[in-house]
Amino acid sequence: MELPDVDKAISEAPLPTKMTLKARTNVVFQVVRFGIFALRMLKMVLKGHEE
Amino acid sequence: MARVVVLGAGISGHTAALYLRKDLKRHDEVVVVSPNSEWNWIPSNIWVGVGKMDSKEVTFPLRPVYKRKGIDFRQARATVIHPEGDLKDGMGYVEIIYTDPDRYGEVEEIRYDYLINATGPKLNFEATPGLGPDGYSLSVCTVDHAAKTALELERVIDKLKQGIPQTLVIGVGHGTCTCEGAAFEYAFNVEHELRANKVRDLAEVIYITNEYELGDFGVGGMQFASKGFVTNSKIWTESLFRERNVKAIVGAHVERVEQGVLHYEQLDGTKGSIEFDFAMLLPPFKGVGLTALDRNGDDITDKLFAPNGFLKVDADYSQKSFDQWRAEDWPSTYQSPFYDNLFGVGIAFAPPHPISMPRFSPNGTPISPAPPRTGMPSGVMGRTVAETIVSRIETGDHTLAHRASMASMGAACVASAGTGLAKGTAAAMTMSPVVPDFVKYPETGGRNIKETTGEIGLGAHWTKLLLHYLFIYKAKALPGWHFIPE
Ligand SMILES: Cc1cc2nc3c(=O)[nH]c(=O)nc-3n(C[C@H](O)[C@H](O)[C@H](O)COP(=O)(O)OP(=O)(O)OC[C@H]3O[C@@H](n4cnc5c(N)ncnc54)[C@H](O)[C@@H]3O)c2cc1C
Repeated sequence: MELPDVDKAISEAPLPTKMTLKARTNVVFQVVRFGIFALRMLKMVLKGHEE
Repeated sequence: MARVVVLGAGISGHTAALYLRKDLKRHDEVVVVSPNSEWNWIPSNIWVGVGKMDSKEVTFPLRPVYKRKGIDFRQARATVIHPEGDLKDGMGYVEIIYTDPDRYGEVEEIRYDYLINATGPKLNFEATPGLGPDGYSLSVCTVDHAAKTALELERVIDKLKQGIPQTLVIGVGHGTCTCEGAAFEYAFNVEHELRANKVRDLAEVIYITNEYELGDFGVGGMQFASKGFVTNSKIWTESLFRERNVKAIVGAHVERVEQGVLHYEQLDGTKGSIEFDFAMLLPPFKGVGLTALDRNGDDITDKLFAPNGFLKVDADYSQKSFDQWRAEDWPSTYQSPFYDNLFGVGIAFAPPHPISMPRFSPNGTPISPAPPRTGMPSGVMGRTVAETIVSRIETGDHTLAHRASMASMGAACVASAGTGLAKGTAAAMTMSPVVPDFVKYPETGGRNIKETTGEIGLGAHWTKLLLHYLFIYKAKALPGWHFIPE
């Protein structure tokens, strides 16, 4: 079985820009993302128990 | 009066026991059999393994919780299930052997009306010669393993500080492992610590995995919408490897580990070796080795359990090729097909087949992830089976069943990539369903694209930390615990 060239795939993978890296650590932006993810999880667990 | 016996006090068994106690009448008995006196929030062992959390922060003693709730706790290991009882009494029973220091080695039989097998995995280090803390590699699967690993990491960091280059290999130690997510988390937490200690440039971090490509995580990868495009977990994970300069070896089966060197075979048949100064390699899992006897004392282990030692439940175990796999193959009631008062939940139930495509090397070595059964689904299964048993005891109707299939439930997975309230980072993912349904969602890798998401950042780290505190609070059954969903 052929294996994909993982070194090549990594070297060609998109690299986050400075802006993206900043956004990932920006407290205000991350508080918002935290809230959104928490809601998403809540929706998922509530739905998961419906069955 | 009914007696429900739960084997195992991990995520699924403990959840089941707490809901059973909450919803059953006082005169009904809930008995928990588990060999460890402590409960462990296993996902946070990753942080113990990098020295950022103390063992005490991820464990607590079970006995006081069970005493307060009125659950009968036996610190013991279950050994044999007698689902038909014996010639004297047709009521099922389970044999246990005490690990409790006060009754060590004592054997006991406990009769039951309902039995839940939630014994999780046996950490099968023996599958790979030299693997594990008794061999030449480290682990973070138990809190003791993780604490030992943290000390080794400290030693490596000291060496780096002295200017001695170090190679750290992190991943899975066998071609059939599961839990790639945990190995990935640990790799990136270690990388984060090396940076924090300003020794990253002298360290080589290598991730070795049985995944065919990065981002598979044992669930066949994920597709999700991001910034107006449908992207996938492969690109996303590769991007993180590039950003953090972590090397990867994919499609690998570790054949053996020796002092400072590991040998592996890859899916294309090539063989290789890596010399290392530090290796944390997760083991494959199998069942804990329970056996079963019928009323005459004849062995029925092979009937009740799959060859990997996990309990057969209401799944479709017929041999099918990858393109014939269907969402309906996955169980939803977790009831044994042979006994309607026997259930298997969490890692202890036998999955019908993997989720990732099975692959073999030219030598016939299987190299592809076994299906993960992560915390959220394990908790949901525990609760669902508890609800089924409560309904049956209350109504006397033994056909009632609550359902929760991994092919219809979603799960959130937060993979830490470094800890710290201000500098931490994690990859937070939601996927729905856990097991892809290619009939329902043919265009998007078998998953609902609206509910399958991924993002990286500090906020995701806070989520992981929040889950740590919430689930420990819930497991301690403190006021309002049942309002915290699984
Ligand atoms: C390092 C690591 C990190 C992880 N991180 C995450 C994560 O971030 N998110 C996530 O969702 N999942 C994570 N997981 C997976 C998660 O830990 C499992 O999904 C979960 O623990 C499964 O629950 P369980 O109850 O089936 O098994 P376990 O939690 O393993 O519990 C099994 C219980 O059975 C007991 N037992 C064993 N043998 C016997 C016997 N013979 N008789 C009676 N009792 C017995 C054990 O002592 C234990 O109490 C991680 C796993 C590992 C190893």
